[in-house]
Amino acid sequence: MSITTAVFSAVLLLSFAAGAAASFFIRNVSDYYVAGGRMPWYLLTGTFLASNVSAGLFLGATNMAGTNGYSIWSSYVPTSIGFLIAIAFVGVMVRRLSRHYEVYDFADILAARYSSHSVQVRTLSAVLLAVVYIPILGAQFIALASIASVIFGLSYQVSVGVIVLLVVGYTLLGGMLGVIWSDGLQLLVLFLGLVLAVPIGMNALGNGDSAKAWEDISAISSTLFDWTTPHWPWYVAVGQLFWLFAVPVQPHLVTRFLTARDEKTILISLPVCLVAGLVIYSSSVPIGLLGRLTSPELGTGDYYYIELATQHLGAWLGAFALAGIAAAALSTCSTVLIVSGQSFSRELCEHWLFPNASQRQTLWLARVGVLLVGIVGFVIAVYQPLGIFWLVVLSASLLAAVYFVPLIAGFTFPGASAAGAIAAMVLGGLTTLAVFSVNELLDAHYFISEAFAGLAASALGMWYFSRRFPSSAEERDAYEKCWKRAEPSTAPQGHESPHR
Amino acid sequence: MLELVEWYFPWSRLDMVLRIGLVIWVTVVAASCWIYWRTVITGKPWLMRRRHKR
Repeated sequence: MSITTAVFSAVLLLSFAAGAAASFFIRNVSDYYVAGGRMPWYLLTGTFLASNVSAGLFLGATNMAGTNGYSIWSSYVPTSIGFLIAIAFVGVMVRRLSRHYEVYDFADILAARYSSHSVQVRTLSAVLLAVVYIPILGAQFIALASIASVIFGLSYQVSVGVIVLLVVGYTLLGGMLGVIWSDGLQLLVLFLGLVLAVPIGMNALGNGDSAKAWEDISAISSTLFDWTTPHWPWYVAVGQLFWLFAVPVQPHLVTRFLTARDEKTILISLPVCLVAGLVIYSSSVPIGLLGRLTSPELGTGDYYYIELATQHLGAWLGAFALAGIAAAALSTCSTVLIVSGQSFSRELCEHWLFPNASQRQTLWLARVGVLLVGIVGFVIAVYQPLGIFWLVVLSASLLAAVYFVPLIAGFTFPGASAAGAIAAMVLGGLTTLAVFSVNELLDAHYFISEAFAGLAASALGMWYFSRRFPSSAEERDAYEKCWKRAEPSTAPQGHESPHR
Repeated sequence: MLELVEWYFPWSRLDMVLRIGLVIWVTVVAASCWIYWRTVITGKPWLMRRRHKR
């Protein structure tokens, strides 16, 4: 067995073991859904970063960076602003809301704020969640299977099957607790692979003289340091601004804040996440460029990072680099699976099909939801309708258009009502899909990015329907609660979430 | 070390738009450190209304 195979297998098996071990600590639905709500700042930071950094960055973005150079920063700068809004604003607000209401998942957050039509808001957001997450899940499965087929010499289809079984398996068993434990391990591996790859790759490609490698990179193309390139025109660069709206409302990140011990824990993780994010994201550009130097003519379905790792990073670091990609994809897979699967099963099964289910049955229903979403992700991975980068972009565009307005307006405008939230979600999602389809069919760039059209429609829907059907007194009260610090001693008895 | 910074953030080679982007990026990181200082170290309130409507 080669070192690469051993390290890659170890990451897969340890992740599975973390999920299996966590299953022994799960006593109730709170443990399964929000890891008991007692995570310290370092585990919160680990799980936030690991679940945010996906194969989209390692394989998709490094390929884009290899082709287009530093212009890919046009997606990283809005992402960093999105991190700030996500942690310093959304995270704090969500945590305060969870002290007053029973909040286990993303649908619960919206239902708590828009309580006049909580069942409709909850069901709609949960169903949309499963739909918008499927492309990103497919992208992670594609990345994992691509690497596994290289390492184990299996066919792509068999690799997809094995990977889906493993990831779904450990997510099913360990729930959010297992996901957070495995995220810690995965972040360590992916960080090591990313950060060490740049200096060692430069040294290897320059035959011991990293300055020479840097000069070779600079000579690849005259547009490497420009904000637009022939393959990254102005409308693509400007369109990346949608990340600013997508990152703060991604349900798999927002629900992470429910696992935090308290508000202070969230704020401690803020600078750590921003600094680590800066290092992780910025390292993808030199890695992509090193990959291009390694393989100037990249074949279809090949990736610059994998080429660099297998040819120039040596046995151990190459193995860690590949395992890092796997770790990034694994953590995103498991977190997306658990967030979309549990929401889907809770809203459909608990509220509509089996309203009298016991705690034990509820746990199993959540697991069935995870399994169902995993199966759909498997089908996408087998057929590969889009490349990894664009699958992630489509998912993120839909997330921004569907959830940004209801969530942010819910925390900033007391007048935002349930009718407005429902209209915002439906109009945002449909408009994004319609514009995406038209742009794909006509090879056009209407609205620069489909997410902008969706966001505009969503905001209009929220404004019109909130004026037509104003918010209730309970909804305004929920808004007020978000703007008060939730002190344990002042929290009303009886309204306290059972997991706190 | 300086070489490493140059590979990650090649300031002298970037065009004006990317330089502005980098300044924004670093400012956002600085803002996160300021929020940490203000809330965790000095214990000042964060995202709170002085008066609450009843």
